[in-house]
Amino acid sequence: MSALSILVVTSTPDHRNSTAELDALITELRRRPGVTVHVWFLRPGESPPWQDSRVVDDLRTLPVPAAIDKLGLSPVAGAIRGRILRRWWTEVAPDVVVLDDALGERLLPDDRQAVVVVHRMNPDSPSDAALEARATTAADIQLIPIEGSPSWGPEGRVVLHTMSRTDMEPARPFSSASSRSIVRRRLGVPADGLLVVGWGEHAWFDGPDLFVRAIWSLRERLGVDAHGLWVGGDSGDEVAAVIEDEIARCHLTGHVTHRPRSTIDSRLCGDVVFLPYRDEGDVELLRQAAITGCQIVTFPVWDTAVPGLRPVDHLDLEAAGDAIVAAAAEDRSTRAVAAGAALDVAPFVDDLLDAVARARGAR
Amino acid sequence: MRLRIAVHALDRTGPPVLAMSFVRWMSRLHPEVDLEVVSLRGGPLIDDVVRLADAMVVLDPDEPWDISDPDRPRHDEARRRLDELPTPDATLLVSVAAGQLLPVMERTGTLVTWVVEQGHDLHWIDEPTGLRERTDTWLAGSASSHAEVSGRLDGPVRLVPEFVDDREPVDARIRRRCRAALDVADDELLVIGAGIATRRKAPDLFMQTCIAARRRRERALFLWIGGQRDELHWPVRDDAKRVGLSRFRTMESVTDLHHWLGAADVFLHTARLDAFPLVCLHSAIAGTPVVAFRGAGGTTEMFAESFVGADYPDLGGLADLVHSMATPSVRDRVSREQSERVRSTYVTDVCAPALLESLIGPQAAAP
Repeated sequence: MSALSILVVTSTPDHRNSTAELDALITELRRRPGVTVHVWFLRPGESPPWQDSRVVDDLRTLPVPAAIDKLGLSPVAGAIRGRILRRWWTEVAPDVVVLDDALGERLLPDDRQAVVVVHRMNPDSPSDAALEARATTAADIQLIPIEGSPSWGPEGRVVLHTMSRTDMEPARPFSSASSRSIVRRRLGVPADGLLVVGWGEHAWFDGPDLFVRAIWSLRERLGVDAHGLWVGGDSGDEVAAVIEDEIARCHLTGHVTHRPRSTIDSRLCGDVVFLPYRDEGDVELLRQAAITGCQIVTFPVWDTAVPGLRPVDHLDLEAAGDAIVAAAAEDRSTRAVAAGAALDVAPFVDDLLDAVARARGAR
Repeated sequence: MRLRIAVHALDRTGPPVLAMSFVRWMSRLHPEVDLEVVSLRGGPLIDDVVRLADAMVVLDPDEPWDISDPDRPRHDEARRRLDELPTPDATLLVSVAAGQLLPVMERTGTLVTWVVEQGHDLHWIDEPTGLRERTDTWLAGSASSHAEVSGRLDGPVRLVPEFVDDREPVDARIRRRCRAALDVADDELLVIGAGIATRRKAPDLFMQTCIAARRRRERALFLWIGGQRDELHWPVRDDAKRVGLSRFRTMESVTDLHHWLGAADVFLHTARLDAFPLVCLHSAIAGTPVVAFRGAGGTTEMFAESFVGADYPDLGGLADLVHSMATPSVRDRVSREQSERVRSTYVTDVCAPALLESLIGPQAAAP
């Protein structure tokens, strides 16, 4: 690959998930041969600026222009600041400028034809977003979270969907059958046989009764030695009452276990996840399961493209039972590799660099 | 002789409907007995009550009432009104929920409590109403209620079955009109469920059986009657809409369910628990076969050998049984067997004498 200089302009070094994901994206970009990445923060923030980054707002307090300001010669001070900014720009000589949250368009030169502009949209705005105007010109490439697109900002010519990586790393150990087996023993659920896991804390929308009846269907209709583990819902609350009532009615005592605390190890110790949700839940938890190669049988309520998601018709427990059996029969390790590749940032960086190359080629 | 019949409400749920069957029978066969009906809450059956008996309603249908901390002026007013009534020779509480009246009902004569509930609903036995202490005679409306309540009480409990009035078959023209009103084609099954829309009565499972039937390409309209103001009404409708069930409908509770039941091809009772669902007796009387869960209350006892159902929670099994009713010979046979069973065992003329005897003794109850 020929040399590529990328300038990332972002609001502040804050604690948003998207900022951590930006860090991961930059790290992966810097791994690529010929790619250099520079980071400019618009303002100082709650954390120190990253190593080798610049803070644009520092121009305001530079001693020389600040002293000239005090003499009432603000246009002169402004010209000095502009000259310094242009020097910074020349030092970087960016081929690509990534405007995080589509902020910082004012830093681009009037003649921006040579630069590929990328807008990276995030689910949460920075705390000081009101201090900076949003970009008004469409980007060459727009990065949008997989969960959906923000309603603001001009649409980019090319749209790529970004994946959140938060909390995925802790899930990786559960790709291993031995790890899952240890957790199962600790939770008191069978180490052998098909373990179906579900989670949720709402007695209607999360469908704990549907979960129990799916286990009944697996055992009684399909003849599968299945055990169910539902995590979430404190004892004494409605979820616990519904589950315990349904277990008793279905004569599944000993075949479905309820644990009130939903932890990553309890959620990921199963062979298949079944989430009989009536409404969309936490996508991050789906990703955690997906990266272990676990398939997630669910109803079509998710507006996302997580690998391993296996939707069946809404409320159709017969179809869910069939899907659970089919999912359990597939090779999990292969799926884990595929899911990891899909969820990791590396393939995304490939896509981004391809899009950049096409945009530069079109110049 | 003066008898008081006490109920928790005058809505169209099981206990008030059961009480009204008894009141009608008493009015017909024992006009010499002064009857009065006392209800904790009002409801649409008040109109039927006043045609047959003296009536007193303590609260409006939706009026808040905390048994442990009642509104004192309302409590005192109710007590004064009940004190002004002549003391009855006996009082029949139809359901343990009617025990809520006892704090304002000092004079009852012989107090007979007829337990027609099961499960959580039996909590009224142990609420601070005086029910446990003041009841002279305990009755149970079904074997399943009897088994459960016997374990909670020290004394004897006598089994006096619940019952419904026998009725004429539904006129063919009315049946046609009902089906036309619902846009049910001649070659389509009309599957009816009915009841309040709570988790126990399970309109959600009724709707999900509709999904299972659709999966089997069954041509059927599933109609749930009642429960518009209950917690599961809109969630279940939302589910049906999301699934795209064009042949799932709901209808408000109606004054007389008989001809709607008679218009159906199947009455599908998907309750998770129902001690002795009178609506299933009504359906059998109307000539419509009943399909239900086995072991979810009193339906297996109710129909004995003629019971048709699947194990809980086999909705696919229920859908298969619904499908079997599309065959006229099967439907006619089940309908005939269930009707015969109910007519010989659970209609008012068969069961009400035993209830009266429990209230006033065999001598006085003799015709």
